[in-house]
Amino acid sequence: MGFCVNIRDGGMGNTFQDAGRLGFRHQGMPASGFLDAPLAHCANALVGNPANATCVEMRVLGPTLFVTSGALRVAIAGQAQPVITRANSLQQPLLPWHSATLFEGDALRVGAIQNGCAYLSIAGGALLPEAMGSQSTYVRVAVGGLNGRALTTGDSFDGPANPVDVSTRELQSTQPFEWPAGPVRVIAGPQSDHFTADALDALVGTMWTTTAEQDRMGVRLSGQRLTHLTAAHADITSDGIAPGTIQVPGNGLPIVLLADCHTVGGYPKIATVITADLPRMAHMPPGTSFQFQLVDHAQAARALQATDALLTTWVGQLKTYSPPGFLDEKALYGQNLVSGFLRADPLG
Amino acid sequence: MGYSEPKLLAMGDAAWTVELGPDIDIDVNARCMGLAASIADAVASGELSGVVDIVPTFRSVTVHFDPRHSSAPTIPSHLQALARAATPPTAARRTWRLPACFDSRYAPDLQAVADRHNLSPEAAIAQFLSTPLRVYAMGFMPGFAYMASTPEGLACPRLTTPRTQVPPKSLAIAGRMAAIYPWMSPGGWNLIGAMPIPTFDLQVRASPALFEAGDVVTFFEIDAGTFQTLEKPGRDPIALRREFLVDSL
Repeated sequence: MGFCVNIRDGGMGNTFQDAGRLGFRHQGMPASGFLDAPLAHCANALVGNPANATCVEMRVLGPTLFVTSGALRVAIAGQAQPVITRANSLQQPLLPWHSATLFEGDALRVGAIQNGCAYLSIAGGALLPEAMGSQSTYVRVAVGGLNGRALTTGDSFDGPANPVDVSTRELQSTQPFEWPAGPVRVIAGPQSDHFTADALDALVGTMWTTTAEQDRMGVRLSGQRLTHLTAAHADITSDGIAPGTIQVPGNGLPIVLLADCHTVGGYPKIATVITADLPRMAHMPPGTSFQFQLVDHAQAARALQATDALLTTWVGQLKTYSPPGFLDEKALYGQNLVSGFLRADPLG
Repeated sequence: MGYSEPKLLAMGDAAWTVELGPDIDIDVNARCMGLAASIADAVASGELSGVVDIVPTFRSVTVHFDPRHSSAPTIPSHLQALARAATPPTAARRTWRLPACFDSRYAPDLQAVADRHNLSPEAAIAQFLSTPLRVYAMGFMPGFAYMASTPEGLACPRLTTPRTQVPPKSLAIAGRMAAIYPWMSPGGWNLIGAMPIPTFDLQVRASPALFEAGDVVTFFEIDAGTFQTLEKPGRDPIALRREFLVDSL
């Protein structure tokens, strides 16, 4: 195999995810998958992976990984301050938005994730079994990922036999990928008619704050309580739900559902966050204030095109770079130098 | 009774819910199964593309799709046309005859349910076994089937204090519904027995869930010894399922 990695410290809230487990929601199986797929796409682009290759999604405290054999190329998209400790004890920062290659005996300590969600990509991916067509971890029933659970101290994973050629140059971005600010856009429904006109006004006209009650299933919000038309309108015959739907139980406080949400639910759903803006909900640590804005399908489609264009532009500006100690044979021979030497310019 | 005109409800830009009626009703539910099947046919024939999941529930069908797909804007009109034409399937897709054990170790609430209706536990079991159930919807957790309708004479509310841990395989009733817990989980339904065949098994790759919405389910009584034999791991899961499948289209 290409490499073997031991998880020295599982950290907190770190799971392998990919584009999700589609085609099984009629069996009650949630979709799971990336909370912020475009950000995962950035991490994958930095190591030359396909856009939806499996990444480690990191939410609170990133893991510490130790390379027990082989070499692997990694990159982090998101806000963190990871440090590589080389086998010879030399410490180097792994700058976010830069790829780096880890060799046998190296350790990568990711540390705290600063705004709710970041991705660690691995060139060529990790060797994980597929469950129902996906490697995404769904912790609740121990399906997918590494042993069906979050990254756990002491667990190990291997890389494929033919990983990406680590002798090629690294990739970097000169700028982070950032989501634009502004209200989170929603489409009304499917049960907006279960609420008073005042509730609909309050949904888009008042500020909402994320609470500490949040995980991959959803985020509870605090703010003005939304009133159902009658007490009976606070329950519905359970029907389909989706990531992005805003459920409002009897207490009037909304819950925005995320990737691991169930497939059906019995609370009325006042509105649903559009695909373009849903990734932003993963970057709202407790206490984040924001507003909702009502849009229609045409606006949602334009917003999605704009998001995709933003991502394409970002991926397009990636450049190769040579980290310290990198032996750039191609450039050397290109310049007709007699033999290789080690570059020693400082990183970044 | 269903609506005279299906309701098309937007769930963001990546799903539509087609609602055929206001509440739980066997005819509405049967039409939902017919609609889900016709949507699946339209996807298979290429007439409808971009669809990633079709989820029939009690009185509606939710269709999840890729909002980036070029045909996404045409999905609602397609769904509306299919919904207007939806008819119940002519027969249940599958009929199961499953073993159920009502031994007191698996049935902590059986006595209370029987007492509520002035029945002996044996009479309550006989009532339960007398009625074929239908899977109205899947959900709550992977493999969890909402089955109805249990006899009026066994109707019971949920527990006032839900259990924090319901053992997997528990057979439970609430209102006029029945369910089998696939996993250890919290739950407020009344536990009246247990069913030994796993209702979610990743070894059955094409269909880890035992049930699908629209299935018909009957139960027969087994003793605790038979339960333990059937529960033993190591049996081929597909063969085990086939043993209790009475009829399949």
